Amino acid sequence: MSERPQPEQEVASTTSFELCVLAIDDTVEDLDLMGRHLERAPGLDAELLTAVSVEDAQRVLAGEKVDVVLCDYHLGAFKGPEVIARIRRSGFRGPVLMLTGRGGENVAAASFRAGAIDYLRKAQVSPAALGRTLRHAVEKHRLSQALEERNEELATTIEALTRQQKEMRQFHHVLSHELKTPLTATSEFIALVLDGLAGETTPEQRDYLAVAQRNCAAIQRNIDDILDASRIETGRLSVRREVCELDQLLERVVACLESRARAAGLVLALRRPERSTAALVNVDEHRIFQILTNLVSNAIKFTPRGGEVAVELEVDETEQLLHVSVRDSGRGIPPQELPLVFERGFQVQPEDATVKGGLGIGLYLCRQLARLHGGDIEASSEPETGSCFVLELPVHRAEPAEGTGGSRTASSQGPGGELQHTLGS
Amino acid sequence: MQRILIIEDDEDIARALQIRLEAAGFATTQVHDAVQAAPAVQQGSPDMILLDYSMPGGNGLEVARRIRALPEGRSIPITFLTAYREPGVRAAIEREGYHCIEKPYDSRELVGHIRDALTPGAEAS
Repeated sequence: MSERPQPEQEVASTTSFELCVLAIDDTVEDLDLMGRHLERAPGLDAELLTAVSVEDAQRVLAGEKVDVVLCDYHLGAFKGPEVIARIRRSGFRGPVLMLTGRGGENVAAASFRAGAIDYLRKAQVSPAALGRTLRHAVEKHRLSQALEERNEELATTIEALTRQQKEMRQFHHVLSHELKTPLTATSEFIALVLDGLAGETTPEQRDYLAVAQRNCAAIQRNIDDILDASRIETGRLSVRREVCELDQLLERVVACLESRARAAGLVLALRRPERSTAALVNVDEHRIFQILTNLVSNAIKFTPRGGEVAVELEVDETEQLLHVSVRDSGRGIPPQELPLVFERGFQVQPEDATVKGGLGIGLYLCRQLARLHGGDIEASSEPETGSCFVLELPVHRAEPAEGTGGSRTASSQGPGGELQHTLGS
Repeated sequence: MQRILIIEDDEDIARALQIRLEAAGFATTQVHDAVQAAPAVQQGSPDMILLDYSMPGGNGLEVARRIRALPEGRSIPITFLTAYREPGVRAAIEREGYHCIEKPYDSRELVGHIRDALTPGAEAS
């Protein structure tokens, strides 16, 4: 849009606009008049070609590079729209300006419908008006051409991206299968030896095998995370909701990670309100477990020996929300990095060699999964004091509304997938 | 001794299953493609079938349908093993009334499931 034609005087005083104009008119006097106007048009350096009939015009167009056609509405037996159709058939793609003797609204409308870029009444034609209209026509045509080309490019790009996305999905699908099949054999043979099915093992052997087994589990988690992230991006991640008690889920998470915390020299504490009513949520238990183990594992990873990781459940009665905070006493997240932690591919500072990286999709996945459940995760941190991640989930309301109870699958894509909109961007 | 037919194209996994199940007190036979599945059911008359979902020569559901069409295979419990975690795959398997165990599998869970499925009176899957 920066290429808008400049005011006339400026153009006239600097460079002139070079154009090859084909005027088509069966009245020779009118052609002569156009010629004189063009010569005097300010700021226009026009070369005028003329034709007195459609056939004549087609011949000229076949041999010359014409920028714009100036065409009489009545040309022998033909009217404007027909003339334009014939000119187009001979391959001319540029703008056509319609000239009319006594042009009414219907002549103008018919001209535009046939693809004319503008129209002028012969009585109004002056050198300045003609010059301005021609330049405007050529410029407008050039812009709309550019826009059309851009649109085509975009359509091609969208098509390519859609195809790529589909291929990527297929690739992830196959990749997962091809990685998990050998992983299954590997972990199971390790388990067979560990379980003593290949004879007695020494404590040292069992220790080594346990390391191998733990790493197999890590590979499996990574494969699953990659697949989940890919599904979230294509809107195909589904959750199987079931009503469950969040406190019990928390107990399981803590029980599962207690030994790891102990090994890291940390205290892993669980705090929850003293109340009899259960904290009910309607969630995919497996997914919420995944979120919480991820948050607690991170907290353990980033907290030095002697520190504490606290998991706390709070109930917001007024908002009908449950908050699970996972607080560590680690060195915190620098303020400039805090807004980035949920971005896909976020990693802790690479120069920090004390902490191993990961795929950088863990927290991204956690937040997306929480949002799929109508919740969210927020992070806060104070350098050198610790970080706190809060998972927020809506309380399950036990009204007997349709489909709120029991187990069922909700897909972020399929019909009835009410979760679709929550994934947005 | 109860007989379990393992239909699994990955021979390493089939072997691991064989070792695990035999240690748990079952007799096993194994075939490694979809084509051999039906003859193995007719000849071996197994008490239970572990079936890999994706195999050369036909997907597992197709194989299960062929087994169900046999007079010998009409009521044998069939449990699927799959490395695909696509919800669509799992849903398709469960829609046809089969149990589905994901690979890598937990062997305790697998053995427990087999015992349950073979317990008289328990609901066959």
